[in-house]
Amino acid sequence: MSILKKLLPLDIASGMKLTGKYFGRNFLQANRSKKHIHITVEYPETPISIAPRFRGRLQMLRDEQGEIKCVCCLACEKICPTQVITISKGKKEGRKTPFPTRYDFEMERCIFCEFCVESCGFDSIILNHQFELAAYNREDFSIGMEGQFQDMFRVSPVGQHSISSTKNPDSPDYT
Amino acid sequence: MFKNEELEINLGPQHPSTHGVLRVKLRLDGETIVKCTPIVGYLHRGVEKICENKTFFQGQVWTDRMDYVAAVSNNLGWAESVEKLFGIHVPRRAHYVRTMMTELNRISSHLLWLGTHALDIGAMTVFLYAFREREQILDCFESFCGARLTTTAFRIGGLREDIPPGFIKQVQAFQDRFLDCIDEYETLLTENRIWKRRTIGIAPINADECIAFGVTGPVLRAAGVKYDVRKAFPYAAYAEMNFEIPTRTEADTYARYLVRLEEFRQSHHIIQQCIDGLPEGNVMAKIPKVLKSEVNEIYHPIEAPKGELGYYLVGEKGGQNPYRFHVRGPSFVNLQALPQMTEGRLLADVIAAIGTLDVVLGEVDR
Amino acid sequence: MPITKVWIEEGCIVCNACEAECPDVFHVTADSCHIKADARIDGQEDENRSSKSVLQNGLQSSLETSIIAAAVACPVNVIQYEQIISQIPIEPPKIEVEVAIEVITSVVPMVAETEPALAKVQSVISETITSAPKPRITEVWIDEGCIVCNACEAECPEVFHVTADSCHIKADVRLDGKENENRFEKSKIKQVLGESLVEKIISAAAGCPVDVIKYGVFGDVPKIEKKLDAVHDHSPDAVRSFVWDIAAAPNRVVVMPKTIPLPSLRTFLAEQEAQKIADEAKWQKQLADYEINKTKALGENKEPPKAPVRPAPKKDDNDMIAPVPASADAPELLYLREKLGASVQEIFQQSGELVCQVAPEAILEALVLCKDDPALKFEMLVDETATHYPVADEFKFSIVYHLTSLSRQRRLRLRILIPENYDVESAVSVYPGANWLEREVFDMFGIRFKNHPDLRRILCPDDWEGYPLRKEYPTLGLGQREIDFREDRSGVLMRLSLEKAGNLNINLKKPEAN
Repeated sequence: MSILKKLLPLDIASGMKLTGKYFGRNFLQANRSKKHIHITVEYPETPISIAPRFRGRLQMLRDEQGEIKCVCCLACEKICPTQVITISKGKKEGRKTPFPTRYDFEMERCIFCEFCVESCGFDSIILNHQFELAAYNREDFSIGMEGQFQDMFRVSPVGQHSISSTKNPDSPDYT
Repeated sequence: MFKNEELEINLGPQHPSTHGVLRVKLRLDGETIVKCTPIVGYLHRGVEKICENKTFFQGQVWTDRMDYVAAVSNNLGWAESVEKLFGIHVPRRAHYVRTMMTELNRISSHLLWLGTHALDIGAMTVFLYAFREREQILDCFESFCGARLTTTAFRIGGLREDIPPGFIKQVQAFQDRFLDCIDEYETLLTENRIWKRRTIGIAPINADECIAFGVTGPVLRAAGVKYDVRKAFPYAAYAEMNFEIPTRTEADTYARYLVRLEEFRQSHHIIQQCIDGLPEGNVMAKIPKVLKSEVNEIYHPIEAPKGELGYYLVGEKGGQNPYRFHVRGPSFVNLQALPQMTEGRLLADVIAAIGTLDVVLGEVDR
Repeated sequence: MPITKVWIEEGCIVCNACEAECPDVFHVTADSCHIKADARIDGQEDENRSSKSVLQNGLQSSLETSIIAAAVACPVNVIQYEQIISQIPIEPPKIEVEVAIEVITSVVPMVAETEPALAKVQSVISETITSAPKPRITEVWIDEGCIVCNACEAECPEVFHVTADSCHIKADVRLDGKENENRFEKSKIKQVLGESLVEKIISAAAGCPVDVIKYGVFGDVPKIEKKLDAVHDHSPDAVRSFVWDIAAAPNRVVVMPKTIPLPSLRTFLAEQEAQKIADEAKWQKQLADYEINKTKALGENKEPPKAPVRPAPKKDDNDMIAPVPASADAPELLYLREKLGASVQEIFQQSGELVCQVAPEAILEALVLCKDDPALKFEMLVDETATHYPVADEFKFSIVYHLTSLSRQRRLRLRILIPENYDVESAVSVYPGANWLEREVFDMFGIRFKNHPDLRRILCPDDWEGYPLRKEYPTLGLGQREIDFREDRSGVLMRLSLEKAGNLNINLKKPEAN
């Protein structure tokens, strides 16, 4: 019996059978059955589903009146492990709380840990769902409150084609 | 015809099968290894020095980046060490969720090991099967904490948020099919004659040598020592869990493969217990916004997928950051045993030995 | 500027604050506060309200600051005083400058010569300012709406204490000794602290995001602008050279510790004892004061003051119990002390961990005993590492060995304290696994091990300078480059880089769609 077992490659055959099973199922049933059997997606054409808690790029929020929610408590600047946030505090006419005259975010060093969002007591910043963050220039990673392509309130130009751009990033409940 | 000449070659640091930037200096006599010297440090970032200059809250993000395959385990170690240093009492629900996430992470780490180890030795098919299930676990991580690899999953004192709605269903979906998946890996490998020829009797290290070198984890258990930090020094919710420590006595690569496959099943069992017995309650202890330590030093070991992961912390009076932080990485200590496992054997076995030790160079070099 | 007259208006609440600040002038009786007879020219002792007697000449200037402090400390502000304003005439600086210009005829040195004149004027002004009583903060309180953001404690930890759900003014700085928001009490803060912490408190109040920190001031407090950190210094003068020398790196930042955080039962007990004695002395003083006041009040047939209450130990409301060292009762530790005798320096337990500190010469003996003795059987050395204590005098490093017994499932920490340039006996002969761990300690701390088979650097390159985990090793500024495009809002750098890339025929722009 053991000689027969040694001669006949049954162990290899059982592996081949498993491979054949999956090959056959995918070959015959792909695109025909309604049941989703694929693991991979055709990415740029098919949007990827992202979990609600996904940690993407840092983004500042405005309230219903279009006013910046940030009140410069510097909690995010202090907790940031890689010191990517710099805030300058200022005053603005007709606003009781302090107003950020400068809110700089250096994305090239950001590690997307979401400690800043967690420390914020005013819900004035979020990590949005933008994940296509590659850029052609290093300057594109330096994001601030002003500038043509460097806006903390919008998705950056490199990420405009990601699925997050289909939602309105200016709305306050945008997460 | 052949002269007895020794040849010295470098395996790595850019060799695909060294799992990172490990360099092994080998002195060969023909194809037999006379001397083997692992050289590490190519990925040294000074995590210990960095964490000594960051607060206890900030330090956690660096633990993600040590053993990046098992980031959740590292997070658990950091959170529990700091809690031990301060004497923080964590709610029971947080312990259960932590246990569940850590066991999921153990499965994903072992799956990556299984895929790449089999790929190194020559069995390519398993890689695709292993990564299929790993993808599902990473999706669970993403919905739990928002990241797939560098998770920063837990917080000091508990969890940042409770588990998201639908998370239990997602994990249960994975649980329902995973036992069949383990059978598929076994079909492909366990009885496979090529796999057996490449692993049985390869890179042996017996129990005494393991203990002498401080080797822990599946390598130690495959040598017949029934030692698991989860059982010996229970942490998180492991004291309430019912599971076995799988052991083998052959102490070779094949035995380690079987031990790890059995650990899949035990982890699956623990996750199921966590899901079934998940207690109600809050998930965060009440702690001050600033943690100021007293003079204290602690060493807190946990069972990472690779072995015993220990954090040594020294607290300064009134200090907001650790005075001293040291990581006892299981990969670092286990890698010491590589010369013991390979000297006097064939060159091709070095690949199997590095694979079976399951080193992650981010943790070796820190 | 001497104070000539002091008197007390209607409405004194007999709070004893003024006597605490200036006992030479004020004397608080059971129902009123008097200006002492010794201090007055007319020799009477009363409120001095109607007579407005002048103070003794010798006391006029020497007691100036303490009288002002007492006036400020008065919660109802009834202490009034008259002060001679400075006799030094302060010319307006403009006139001085004009005089200087008139004197000098030549045009060229004029600018150079006016500067000393200006400096002279400024020095006169600054003299008059410094001779005035110091500005200080009298009271600090926190209004409704605190978001518990911890910004204030970071700025001024002496005064503010942030708990889990509110922010408190510390009891140590307050006259009434309570610890809360001080919202309703508005208790004064101590004078010495009020002067020294002016800048810190003001910057904490300015840093509060919701502006709930309020304070009362005395004098002209300086306006404090919040400065950016040195890290974010964008001025072109900031030196940004690329230096590898540890000692000469210009921007290096070394964080040296101030304390010796070596956990030890002995020092813990000594600290506890000292704290107890200090507490007891404070309490006895309070009691004595009370007795004196009581007998005084009884003698004058007045209502006696309230008896002092011993303050209960403070505890924040949270889920933390700080672990403290406890005396050893584990059999392993007692057995070790019995076996090793005098070479065991200390044994204790903390956080459920067994610690045994032995003499550095006896470490090998202790390790052999731990491994081989059937009562101990610590088979595995799981970890070995060191800690640098630069402040300590008798030792500079501690080396800890973490041992695990697999059979008995126990852990033990052996600790030795060694001075600089002390060669420790290597543990490799007992535990071969110590090889790489000791190499790492040598690499990171420069501690040499005797009889080690292969003592080379392991993580750092062989030619690395310095030992990175020592406390004097800089954390910042060693060969660091600052890459900063933050100032490039107008796109100058971007344009330049595109031009450069265009010359090299590199397409850096994103390809246009379609």
